Amino acid sequence: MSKIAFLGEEKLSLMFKNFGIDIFTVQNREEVIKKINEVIKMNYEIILITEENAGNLGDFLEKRTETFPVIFVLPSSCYSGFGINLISNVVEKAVGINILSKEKSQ
Amino acid sequence: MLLNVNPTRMELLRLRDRLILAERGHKLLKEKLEGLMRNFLDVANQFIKKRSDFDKEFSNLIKRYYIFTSAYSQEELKLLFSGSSFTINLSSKEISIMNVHYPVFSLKTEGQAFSYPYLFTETSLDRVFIDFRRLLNKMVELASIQQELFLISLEISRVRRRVNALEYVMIPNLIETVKYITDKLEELERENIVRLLKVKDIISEH
Repeated sequence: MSKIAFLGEEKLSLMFKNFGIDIFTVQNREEVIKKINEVIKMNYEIILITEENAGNLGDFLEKRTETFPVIFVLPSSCYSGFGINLISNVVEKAVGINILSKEKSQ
Repeated sequence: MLLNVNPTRMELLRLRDRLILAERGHKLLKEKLEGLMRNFLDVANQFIKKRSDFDKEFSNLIKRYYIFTSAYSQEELKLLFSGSSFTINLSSKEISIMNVHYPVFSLKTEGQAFSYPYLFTETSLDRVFIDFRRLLNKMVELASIQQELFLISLEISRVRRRVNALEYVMIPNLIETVKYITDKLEELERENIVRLLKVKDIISEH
């Protein structure tokens, strides 16, 4: 069993499968939360998820405190910086200032 | 706010010990917070740089993937890629710095990036796959940095809460209570002296 899992749309997941990454497909956004909870229990170390699907997972991802698995948000075809925004929200809460996006705009 | 204690000498000694301990803890935690912050800034800078590069490259890659596979149906793609012999071997180590446990991954890959028959696909698709293989390493590295950053910020908020609680609640309360007890004890002592003087006066009058 691979230690990396991919959660996302079917056509894209074929490419990940080609590289030996375990894949889980979801049909719509509502399914994502249910599915990701299942996948987290399966002892993967990295879970890749696409930006579109992670859209309404924001709160869920910010509240996690475990070391494993690492949930890594991949950018989609139209880049929106969701991955950086997610982290910068967490950082803002911790540090009090939003260091990350300030530097991004420079 | 005054602590709910009896103004006795024993309580005073106990509170003084607690105050010393609290001040020492506060100093240590403050130093830890500074250390975490410094570490955090390094990691944050590194993360932003790498992440924005990666995001651009990867979204470009996905775009190319969709374009070059648009001619095939999903079933066809599944068949084309089914001969893949690529395997990923991910090993992880948990590193702990200042109570932040974060994973560091190392990735070993084996096999060809693409093993589909060249006859049916465009060469551009090959390039997409080669790029993906290259990005795979970056992806794993970024995942580790992201987790480190995430966990450091959680730890920072935890430590900061403790430092603030000590600095603004616990230590002032202790100082106030110690002062209250010493005042009270001194007052008792004065009362005692006055009483003795009075008694002496009464005795000398007779």
